[in-house]
Amino acid sequence: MKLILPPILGLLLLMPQAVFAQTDTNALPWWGWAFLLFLTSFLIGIFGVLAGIGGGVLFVPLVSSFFPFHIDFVRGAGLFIALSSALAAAPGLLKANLASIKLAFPAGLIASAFSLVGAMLGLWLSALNPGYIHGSLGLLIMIIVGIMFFSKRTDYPAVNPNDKWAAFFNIGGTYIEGTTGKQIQWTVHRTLPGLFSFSLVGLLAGMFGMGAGWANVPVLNLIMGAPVKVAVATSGFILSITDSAAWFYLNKGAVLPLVVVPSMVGIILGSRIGAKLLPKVEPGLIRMILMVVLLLAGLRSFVKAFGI
Amino acid sequence: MNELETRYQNLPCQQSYAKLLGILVNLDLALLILTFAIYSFGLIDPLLPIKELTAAWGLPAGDYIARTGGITGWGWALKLNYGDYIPFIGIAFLASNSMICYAIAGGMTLRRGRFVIGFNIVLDFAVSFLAASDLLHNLH
Repeated sequence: MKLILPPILGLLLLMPQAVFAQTDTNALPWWGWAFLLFLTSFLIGIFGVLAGIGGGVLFVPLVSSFFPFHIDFVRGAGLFIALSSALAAAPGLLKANLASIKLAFPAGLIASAFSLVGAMLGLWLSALNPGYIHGSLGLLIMIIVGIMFFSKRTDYPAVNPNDKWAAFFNIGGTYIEGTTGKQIQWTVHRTLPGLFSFSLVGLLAGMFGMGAGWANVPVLNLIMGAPVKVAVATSGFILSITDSAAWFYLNKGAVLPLVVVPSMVGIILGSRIGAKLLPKVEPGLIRMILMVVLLLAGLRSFVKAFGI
Repeated sequence: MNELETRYQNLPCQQSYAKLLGILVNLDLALLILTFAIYSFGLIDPLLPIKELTAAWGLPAGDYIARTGGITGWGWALKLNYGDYIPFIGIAFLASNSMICYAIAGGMTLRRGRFVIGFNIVLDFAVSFLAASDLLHNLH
């Protein structure tokens, strides 16, 4: 904990001045920006895992606000960040049977298809005026902070097992609860409204280039009734199969290797360290600090829409 | 076994999916670092000098392409003799990971007669394949 707090506090001290700062391409050589991206993504990887926030949701507002790249390239990188951190985490979650293929694929199919629509919409809007994207991104980030602050998760929601769509898709599973060693059997209900919600989740993820763990978990846990551990793990796995928007940005030429590769390597390495640190830290405090960082990044994105 | 009991069973292909994805992710990391090192250390000359790239990275993607003569779609695959296009090998490979896993998982579930989830995986593959193809880019 003592090792983790100084960089977070340093980041927090820099944030208020940075909120109204202008970024200058010539302020650093290209390798300086690449190194800063690596460092930022590395820290996002660590703290994202500790706070249970996806990498993309931190990366897009922070990098679009404080780096000189156009928001198109930041969103392209954000989608690859979300994809690479989800891919890195998925094998462990699947092996432990916490992430479920049976739950993830129907949801992922809808999210993936709608993320394509979101990607088209996002690139069209930013071609009209990047301010539209900066402003709505800022607003969305502030709403996400609100959702994170107010939503209460339920460890084991009471579920009606007679949902006909859950039966049709055969959604359910079994895992061993690590803290008690007990075998937990689970299924879901309200399957249709739950799956329908993933269309909005996918649309926003594609439009703003963010992963959508902040929305996936409440939908899976609060609407569909999956146990919280299954919801968190399956949400991560859904991000790994929602790759369509990333392909779309790549095909549109909105992916710069100089931006994407240092960010992806940073987040993969950071996420692995974050996962190792997880048992030793108090996630509540980290989560609260990162919500403040997100709020400031959202505010910065919002004021950038007005050319400030 | 009744319907609810089968619902509580995890799919057998889940463990194979996890193993395969674990191997692919390690390959991704190695490919990303290797191809980016070739580019950033200038081992192969880039088509677009880095100075010109940094002057244009603040432009919208469409304007950037127009100004730098950049390539869209799969055009990068024909420019692998230039250093700045080599990192796309690692990037595209990482984006293909799930499609490789879909092909294996889809085949396994359909062979075992699990047609609903099998067909679902086939549809997931189709959406990703459509996005990876240049078709939607041309429509947009």
